[in-house]
Amino acid sequence: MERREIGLGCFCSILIVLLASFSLTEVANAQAPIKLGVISAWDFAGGQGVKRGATMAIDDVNAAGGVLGRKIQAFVYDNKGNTDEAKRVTERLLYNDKVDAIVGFWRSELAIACQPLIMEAKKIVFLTGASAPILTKERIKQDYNRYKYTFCTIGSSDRFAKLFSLPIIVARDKLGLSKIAFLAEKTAFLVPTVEYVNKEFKDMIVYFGEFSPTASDFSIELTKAKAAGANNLFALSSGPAGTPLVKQWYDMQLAMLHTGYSVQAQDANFWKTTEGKCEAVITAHVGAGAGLPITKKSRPWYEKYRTIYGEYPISLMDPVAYDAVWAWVEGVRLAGTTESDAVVRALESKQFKYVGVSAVLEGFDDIHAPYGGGWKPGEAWGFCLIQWLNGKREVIHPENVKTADITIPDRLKKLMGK
Amino acid sequence: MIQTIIIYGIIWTFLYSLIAIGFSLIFGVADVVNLTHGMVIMAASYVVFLLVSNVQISLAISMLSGIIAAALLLIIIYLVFIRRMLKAPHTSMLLLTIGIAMMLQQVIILVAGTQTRYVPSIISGSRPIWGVVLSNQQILSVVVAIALVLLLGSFLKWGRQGRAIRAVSQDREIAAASGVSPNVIFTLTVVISGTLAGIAGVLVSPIEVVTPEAGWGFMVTAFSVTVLAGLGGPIWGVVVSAAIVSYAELLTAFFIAPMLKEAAAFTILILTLMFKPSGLFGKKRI
Repeated sequence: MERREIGLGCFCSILIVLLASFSLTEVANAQAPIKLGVISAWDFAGGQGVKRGATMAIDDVNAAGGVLGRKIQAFVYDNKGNTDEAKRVTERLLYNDKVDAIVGFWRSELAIACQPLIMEAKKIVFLTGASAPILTKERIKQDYNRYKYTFCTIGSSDRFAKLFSLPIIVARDKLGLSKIAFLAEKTAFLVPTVEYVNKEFKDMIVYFGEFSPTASDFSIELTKAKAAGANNLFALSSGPAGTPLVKQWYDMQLAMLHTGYSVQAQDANFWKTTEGKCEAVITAHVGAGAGLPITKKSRPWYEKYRTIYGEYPISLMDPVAYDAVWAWVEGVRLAGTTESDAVVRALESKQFKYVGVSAVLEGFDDIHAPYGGGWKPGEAWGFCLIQWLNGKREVIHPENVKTADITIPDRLKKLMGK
Repeated sequence: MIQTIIIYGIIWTFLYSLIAIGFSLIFGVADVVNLTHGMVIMAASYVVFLLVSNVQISLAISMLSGIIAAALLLIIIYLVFIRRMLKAPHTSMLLLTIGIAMMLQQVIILVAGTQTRYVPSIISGSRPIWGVVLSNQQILSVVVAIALVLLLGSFLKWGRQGRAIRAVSQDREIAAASGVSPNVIFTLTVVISGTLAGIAGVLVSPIEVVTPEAGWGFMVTAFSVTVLAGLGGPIWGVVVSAAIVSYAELLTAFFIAPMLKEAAAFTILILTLMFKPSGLFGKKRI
């Protein structure tokens, strides 16, 4: 064999080996799992709800064959509700685990701190509970190219203001309770609701006070509310303070109904935690988390959740996080890739539509909140009102799905002189 | 409104006294600033919570276990760490005890998580006292606290070991020359302090919430009350100081903002250190 033929043979062999290795790498990449980070504070009802909902969704996606022929590998971390820890695990997800996207964040304060890190890495984040307007409405509007990777399936929290204040209207119209003691947790996510309620119901508010998310003593606020003659204790809380507030409201035998928005009161275990003192407490809740048929998927999901976790959903975050994972998966499917810019375009496109367990999402608007909604387009998550009656969470609003009428138990009637 | 301030002030005066007396005793007798005190109180609360909710032992036995656990924990901390450093400068002791407190907090987080926990009430129901509705649990807690403060006051005034504790507190060398063993008295003080911390933990936890951070809150209270009372003073000095702190907190909460309640204790601490370092009833400069 001549030297020239040997050289040609060697060249061809190297070429074949290189081509083969390239295609093997391609095949390997095509079959490698897609990496999804899930981050929340596990020791809080809302954070645990994010973990459970997202994990359940990832299992369901994988059971259905994955996305783009690839399974999802979950990297689930606890940020302990602490900003430094949240930043640390976010960086770990981005640069150590090299995830394709992140789902989670329950507290807005932590998301506000970590969002720039995720945007710097040009990775998509689907926020669950964190919904302070700064995360979407302000930052995406101000600098679209930098913040366009942020999506919030629940929308900006200023959209909830009306929904969260529903208990005021229902208690006023159905029970004639028009003197409000308004207590609000001081958190970023509730700021729009606090402003809205103080403006819209200013003639009904006889006392207003704010408290820390970890407050445990409300004796002073409740004494002032009593002195002001309130008959509706309207309280907003997303953290653990919701439990001692209910217990003290009961112990102080106040002549006022306890209404509002309380993540703690959404928990199926709340009756036990409060030793039954939550009787008559009313809270706004996500419909799917309360077992309402928002979409055809809602009820089966609700029962399946119970089979998996042995109890019904513990907070509004369970269905929200479940749908956030699926919304991202649908975006990836539509884009045909996990590449962030392509997925952003897919999620923004008219072709995007996802029927979730708690809402129908029909694309994302310019602040990356969904066009679709729960009961109707544009409405977040099909909110309802639940009331604790005889140890059970009863739906008292909207009328078409209610399981019980709004009730003032005899204990309260006696105190209120009714 | 005034009745509410007076009644709640009485409740927190005696609960704060209970929280502070154990800390104050060790500070006065052994000259040890024991910053683990708040965490020992928390540990008692967590023992009750874990036994009631996880092991489902009766509340009474769980509470007794919580008190014993707190006393044992403080004895172990004293024997293993503090005793070896009794002659070390105050700064070393501060660093040592703050380190142990942080370690205890992490152990609590590892065992029970960071989630807020709730301990059930010993007795249910409420009743009005002078027009202010209080839970029976609050009433029980304050009655037990008052009884313990009186008992401890009597013990320190008339009991043989109690007088020895006061003697060591006032002058360790003269007490030793009179035949009192400071080491025995130190150990006795640690047992009393740990038991009081345990009782405080089990009495306060059904009224408040149980979190790993709450230990620092107890610590600030104990520290503020003790600094205000001063070292080597009478037990009623601690009670008066606890009353000043609790009423200052309540008045701040009522007339300024409830969220600033804790700031009142810090303000008292700072003002005392600046203008009256020996405290209101103390015989030594802190």
